[in-house]
Amino acid sequence: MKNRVEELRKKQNEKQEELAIIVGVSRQTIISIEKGKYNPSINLAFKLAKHFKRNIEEIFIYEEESK
Amino acid sequence: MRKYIAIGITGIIIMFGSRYLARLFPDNWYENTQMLILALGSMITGASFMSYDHERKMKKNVKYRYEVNDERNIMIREKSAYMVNCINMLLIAGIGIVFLMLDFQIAALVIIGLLIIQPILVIVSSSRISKKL
Repeated sequence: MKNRVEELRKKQNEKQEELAIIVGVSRQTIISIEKGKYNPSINLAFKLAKHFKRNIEEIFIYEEESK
Repeated sequence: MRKYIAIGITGIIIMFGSRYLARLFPDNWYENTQMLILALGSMITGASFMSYDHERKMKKNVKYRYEVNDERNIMIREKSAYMVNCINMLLIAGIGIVFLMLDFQIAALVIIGLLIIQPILVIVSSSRISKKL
């Protein structure tokens, strides 16, 4: 799954640590999400969407796994 | 928070009272019992003060709270616990084989019992969890 967390965070001039505190996770989690290594839970995805004032689909882009 | 302090103090009392508590047991058990009670007391004290410190940090330290409750960290903890469990199983099986080779049959039987219980416990706990979810 691709995401636009890094792009949206940078648009808002926020540091990873600041975003982490806002959504209530560790900085490492934000790093992993931005790198696409970790897919957040639905709760965290909603928190991120609420923070960036966007729909979840605008932030997280679902891609079918290649067979 | 207070309960951890109370349990910790109880542990300290047990540690200091080990000499007297051990006297309740037969004379030839005295030393071993005292050591056992001392170990139990120190374990209770250590665990309770650790829990106290954890609770205190959870209340006052926001970063610590986020680190503990972080969903990725929880997932890492679960996965690492699973891996450690697998390694433990292998180690226990190895010890069981060593016991069998040394002809310590009862100890080997106990270990085999532990190995048999393990998957049963996994089935029981997973069915309990699946009912909750």
